Formats: sequence, structure tokens, C-alpha cells
Amino acid sequence: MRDYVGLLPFLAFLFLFLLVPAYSVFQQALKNPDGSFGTDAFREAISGQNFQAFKFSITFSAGAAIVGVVAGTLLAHAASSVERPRWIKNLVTSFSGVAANMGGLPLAFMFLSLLGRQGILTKILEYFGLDLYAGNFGLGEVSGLIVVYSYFNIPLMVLVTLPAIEGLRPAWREACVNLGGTGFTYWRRIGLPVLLPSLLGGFLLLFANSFSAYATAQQLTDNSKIVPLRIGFFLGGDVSIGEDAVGYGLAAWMIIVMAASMGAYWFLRRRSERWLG
Amino acid sequence: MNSKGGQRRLGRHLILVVGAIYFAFPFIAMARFAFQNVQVFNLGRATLFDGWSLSVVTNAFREDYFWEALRLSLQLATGTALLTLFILVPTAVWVHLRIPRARVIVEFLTVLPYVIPAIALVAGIVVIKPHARWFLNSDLSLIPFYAVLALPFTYRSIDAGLRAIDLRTLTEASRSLGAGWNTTLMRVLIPSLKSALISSTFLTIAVVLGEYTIADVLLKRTLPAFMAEYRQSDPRGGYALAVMSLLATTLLFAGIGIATRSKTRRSEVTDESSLKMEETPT
Amino acid sequence: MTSLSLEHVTKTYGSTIALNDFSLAIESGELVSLLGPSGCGKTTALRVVAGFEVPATGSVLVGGADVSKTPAHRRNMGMVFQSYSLFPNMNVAQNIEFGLRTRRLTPVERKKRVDEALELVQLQKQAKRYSHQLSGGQQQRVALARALAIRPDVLLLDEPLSALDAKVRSTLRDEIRRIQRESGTTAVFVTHDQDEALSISDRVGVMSDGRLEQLAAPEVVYSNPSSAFVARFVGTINEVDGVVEDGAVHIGPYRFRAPSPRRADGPIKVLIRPEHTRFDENGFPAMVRQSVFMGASKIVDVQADGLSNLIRVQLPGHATSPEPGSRVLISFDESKVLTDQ
Repeated sequence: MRDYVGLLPFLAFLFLFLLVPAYSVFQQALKNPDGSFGTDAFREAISGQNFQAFKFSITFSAGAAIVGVVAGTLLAHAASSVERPRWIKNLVTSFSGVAANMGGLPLAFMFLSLLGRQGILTKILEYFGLDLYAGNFGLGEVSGLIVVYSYFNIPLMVLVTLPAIEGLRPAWREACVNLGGTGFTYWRRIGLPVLLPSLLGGFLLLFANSFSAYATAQQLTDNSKIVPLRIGFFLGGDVSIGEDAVGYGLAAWMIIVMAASMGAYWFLRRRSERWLG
Repeated sequence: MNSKGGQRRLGRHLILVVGAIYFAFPFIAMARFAFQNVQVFNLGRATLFDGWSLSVVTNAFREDYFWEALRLSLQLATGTALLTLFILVPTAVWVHLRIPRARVIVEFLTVLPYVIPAIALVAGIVVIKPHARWFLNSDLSLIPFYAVLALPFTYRSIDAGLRAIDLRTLTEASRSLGAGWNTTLMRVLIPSLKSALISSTFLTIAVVLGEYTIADVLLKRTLPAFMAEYRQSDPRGGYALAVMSLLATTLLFAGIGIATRSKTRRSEVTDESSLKMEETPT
Repeated sequence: MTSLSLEHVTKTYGSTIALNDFSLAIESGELVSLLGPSGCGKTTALRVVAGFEVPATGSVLVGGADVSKTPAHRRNMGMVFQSYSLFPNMNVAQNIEFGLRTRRLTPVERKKRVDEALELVQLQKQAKRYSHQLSGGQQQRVALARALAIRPDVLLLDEPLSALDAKVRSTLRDEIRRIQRESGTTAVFVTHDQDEALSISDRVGVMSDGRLEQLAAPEVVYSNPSSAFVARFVGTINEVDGVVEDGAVHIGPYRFRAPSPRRADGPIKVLIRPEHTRFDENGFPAMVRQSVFMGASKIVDVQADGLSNLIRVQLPGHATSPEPGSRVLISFDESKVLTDQ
């Protein structure tokens, strides 16, 4: 038991700089305007306009996650199975490392210059007669956000899924073929079932990533239906006293959504390690 | 059978090519916008090579604010990297050596920062602010929070490094030959962990140089904050800085890749051949 | 109950020749081992039979019919891989059932065959377990059951014992042989372990560099190796440098008549097994270097006067051990000498 003493500096560090702020968010969210404990703000944080915001954020995050899962898995599979040239897999992994951690401003700028109203691709499409902005498209709308966020979601999925795909032993595929199955049989009965926990876990990770992103969204749009931006507006201070509890309520609910997603992700990851380890 | 294999291969290469285009295009678009002084609607085959210059970048460099922001960001990066190493390396070593059973718990704790993303973390900081003004007023107070943000990546990197070196055996060998803890740490463990330490430091630097959320809400004037502000007055300049920032991050990750290149070269001498070496004709 | 043959199979990977005009004929119900060092092509040969590799030239015939153009999943062969081939998301029974489902057998028929297979390998109680809950030996037994449940024309085993503990290896080895005999399935067994090959095979095929060096019963391969490679690879053998002059072989100061056919003059390597050497009062003088007791036998390494290599002499375990440093006289059975020029 005394051995745990060595963890004290680390635990103290986490406590001070992670747990205390997190706790403070909940504490502030569960306050009435007069300072007493109350759940009004907490409940208001997911009703009315706030509810619409959560719905919006969850929608585009799920969409971006799905695109990321499908495209990322295909890319990871392609990278791991292409044998020549040999440097392809390394290149894909390294690039994914960079791109997955990218976020923030450069990402927003990239897509503003590509698909913004004055963006180069927008102009190219116009040249071919397609008006990108004719319908509901906008960089701050669901469609635009999905396109932009896929840029870091896909590499993140590649990084997370590549080990799982490489954990698929060649002997399984050969045994399946040897026993009379085709490639399709293999994926349907062995490959995808074994990968499923990884894929679901990847979805949750990508979802959490998209849901909580602030910097990119802030540069792209001022759409207050994006929950992190909404929290930012509240924190920005143009808010009357007593209303700020709702802001913290938003942050608290965000933490709850993230906790649920990451909890499920953690569980699925342990499950898939058992089969592929 | 061969044609089907060929089809499959073609499909995979196609996926990789499409992927490459999707990822390169936005970057090219941004770089073009930054460095080419030609409006998009004027862009055509004739004007493709006009107006390229780096003056946007040099203009940005003329701002005092830029140098202040750069200096602050570098200070934060250094501070965060050092704090991370000081806290994580001894902790990780301790866990590996003394309480291996706790590894799962510690791993779980290092994933916690995902649950409390930057925007929620900074909300909590805003709550605490009135009570800790003496600390939070300083720009350098960002350091521990940045260390928290980087925690999942940095811990995993150090942990992987420790797992690769069979810590227990090395430590026991060192102690049995008479070295104390300090010597063991400095002369045996840290040199063996070089690549993990380098990659976790580079990761930290990448995170710090790119972090915008906390700096924005707390109104700290870091490099990304400067980028956002500068973009309002000079969009092309802002974009140019973003290009530089991306290149810097890429270099950092390339550095990580080089540092962590697999060092395990199987011994080229087999037992059989070494026996032959020893058999000398009498 | 089908025969298997490969005819003039050549397979290359880039510039490496894995199989070089390789031909092999196996009779129905026979177990033939392919034995050789890494890189000799034995696994490639097996994979060509299974259909995982397509040879540049040559054909594979099963029961006389050419299956070279038949894709792997239609060849009705059962393969046991070296390790980790059980499907992790299925339990033992489901694994065994897999090949039966692809053949669209009725559920009743499938259950019957799965039960038969489980009984064959004595794993009835483990039917609901998953591969990560089984030991290495148990996993390989399931793999064997899975391969046999489909009643294959040929059973292919790719170093199935190499990844197992020594103790498990020998019991499983005997079980594989027993099951193969009882079911009468033609089988090809790839291994680099000569003890395995010699103990379970009807015939052994020794391979080197993509070619078949010798294909014969185990005793023949051991005592009448057709080439120096086979002699060196199977069992232990002494090797001494010598010279041929006028039809006689000289090793150091000693000479003896060269075995037929007549050898050309020049340098030669003389090969003789330890069990064909002995202490002999009419023999060459030598000094004992080392004596090791192996249980059923004793191994004595001696330095014959005038010869640079040590010679290993094998004696029965109960023979008296000469002391290291003592002088002895040794000779060997000239009729058992092999040479390599």
C-alpha cells in the first residue's frame, strides 16, 4: 500500500489542474442566482435553444464520425495491405500522426481558402456550373462541418484502427479460404466481427473529438448551435449575472456526454484487445 | 486468380491516391491564397504564376506582437515539456517497477483529459479565477494546464518507451553492479529512453504551439492567438503564418518518427555461426 | 482416399527461386514429410498444393485430376497452420463447423460431424470454449479437427508443432499420426525438425534450394542418404577433409579404398556417422578430448593423430568411458562412408 506514495505528485497534479476545474464547472452549474444549490440552470442548459444546440452538435459530430470511420478504415486497410512500395505505410502513419493532431486554426484556414465563399474549389465548381452555396451548404452547417472535421477524423481513425487491422492474422484468411470460404465470406464472418469493437470504439473517439472541438469552429463560423462555441460565448462575458450558470451547465453537460462516449470507448477497446492481442 | 488480385491492388492504390489528393488539396489552397497575390476570380492559366511572394510573412514578422507571442509560446512549450518530463518520467518508472498492478488505473487517469476537453477545462479555470488571481494572472500559468492537455499523448509515449526496454532487468543489473538510484536513472534509464523522451517533448511542443481554446478564452497572447487576430487585419498574412505553423508541426512529427525508428536490429550472429568461429583447427 | 502429385513445379519470388522444377508423387493414404532448412521451399510447395501460391510452371494433381486451375477455396484440402489459425470470434464447435457451413451441409449433418471431430481429438468438453481459453496444444488439436471435419482429399500440415512446448510436441505428434492412419487421409507434413519427420512419416522428402534431394522411407534416408546434403541434414555426421589419389582416399596419414563409383583425383570430404565408428585395436591412434554420457549412448570426441577435425565416436551407454587425455585406437566401417567432392 505504501508503494502508492510514489503516485502522489502525479495525482496531486491531476487533482489541481484537471479535477478541481472540472468540479468547479459542476459546482457553478448547480447554483441558483442567489448562490444556493439548484438544478434550474442545469436543466435549462439542455432545453429550448440549448437543446437545439446539443441536437445540432451531436448530429454533425455523429456524421463526421461515420465518415471518419468508413474512410479511415478503408485507408488503413489499403495502407497496411499495399506491399510495394514499402514506405507507403510509414508515410500514411506519420502523416496521420500530424493530421490527427492538427485542428485549430490551420484547419479552419485551409477549408476557408478551399470551400469558403471565395474559396478556390468553390470557384472551380462554379466554373462547372455547380453553385456550392445554392442549398444548405455552409462551413458552419452540418454539411460543411462534416467535410472539415473529416480532415482530422480520418487520420485519427487510421492511427487507431491500423493496429487492429494488422492484428488480423493472415492465417485466419487462409484458413477461411482453405475451408471453402471466399474473401467475402472472410470479411462477413471473421474480419468485420473481429474488428467491430475497434470500429465502434473508433466511432466514439471520433465523435468525442468532433463534439468537443472549439478552435476550428470558432474561426469558421459564429454558429451558436455548436456547443463548444456556445460555451465560449457565455464565457466571453456578454452575459448577465445569473445567466452564466447556464453556460456552466452547458459545459457540465458537455463533460457528461464526453464521459459517456469515452467510457464506452474504453470498454470496447479492452474487449477488442482480448481478441487481437 | 491473378486478375482478381490485380483488381484488388488497383483499388487499394486508388484509395491511397484519392486520400492523398483530399489531404493535399486544402493545404495547397491555403498556401496559394497566402503566397499568391491574385484574387480567386482572376485566377486562370495566364495568371497561374503571377504574384507569388513571401512578403506576407515578412510583414507579419514586423509586428512586435508577433515576436512577443512567439516568445511566450516558446516559453510555454519549454515549460510544459519540462513539467511533463519531471512529473511523468518518475511516475511511469515508479509504476512499472513498484506497482505494476496499478498500470491500468494510471492509464485510465491519463485518458481523463479527453473527458474534460479544453473548452470545459477553461470554463472551470474561469470559475476558479477570482480565487487564484495571483497565479492565473501570469501567462506562464498556462503551463500546467497545457501539460494536462498533452497528458494522454505524452504518457503513452513514455510508457511505450519503458515497456520496450525491460525496465526491471536493466534496473536490477545496474543496482547489482553497485549503482545507486540517481546513477541508475541518469546513466542507464534516461539514455535508454532517449527516443521516448524526445518524442514526448516534440508532442508537447506541437500541442502547445497549436493550442488556441484556452488561450483565447483567457485572453493570453500566444502565437495561435496572434494568428487569429492578425488574420482579421491581414487574411493572407494569417494564412501564411498557418502554413508556417503546419510546416513546423510536420517537422516536429518527422523528428518524432526519426527518433522512434525501430532500434531493434536482430543480432546478425547466429549461435551456429559463432560456434564455427570458435572452432579453430589444432 | 486420393493420391497427390506435383509435377515440374517452379515458383519464383522476384529473383529468388523458391521451387525449382519440383516434382513429388504421394500415394493415397500416405503421410509424407517435407524436411529441410528454412528457405528450402517446403512451405512454398505446401502452399502451391493448397492453392495459395500459383506456380510459374507445373501442375498439381489430386487423384489424377489436374487442380492447378482450381481456386484455393474449392480444392477440398484441409490445412493445419503453424499457429493462431483458429477464428477468435468463434468457439471450438463453431470453428470446426466452419468448413461444413461453406459446404452447405444440413444442421443435422453438421452437428454429427462436429461431434465426430471433437471425439477424434478428445476435446468434447471444450466445445464451447474460445481459442484464447485454450492451450497451444489444444488449439492445434482443434485446428486438426477443423481440417478433418470436411473429409478432405489431402491433409496439409505446415509445421504444426513448431510453436509448442517440447513435451506437448511429442504427444501431439503421435496423435496426429494415429488420426491420420485411422482416417486414411493422404497427408503432407512440413517440418524442419528431423526427429518429427523420421518418426511419423511413411516417406520423407528432404529438400534443399527448391529441389527434392531424396524421397524415401525414414530408415533409408537415414542410413542410405543419396547425397552429402541429406547425410549432413539428417542425423549427425563426422566430416573429415581428405584427398583422392589413385582410387584410394587419404585422410591425413591414413588411407582406405574409395567406395564405388570411382572418384576423380583431388580433394574430397569424407563423411561417417558416429555410430559407424568404434574403438578398434587395429585402428588409428587418437587422443580422447571429451566424453559425454547421453543416457542410452555415450559420445566420445577424439583427436586422431594427423587429422585436424575432431571425430565423434558413439558407444553404447554402458561402455567404459575413456578418460580425457588418454590414448585410444579408432576405426570406422568403410562400407558406411559417404563422400562429397
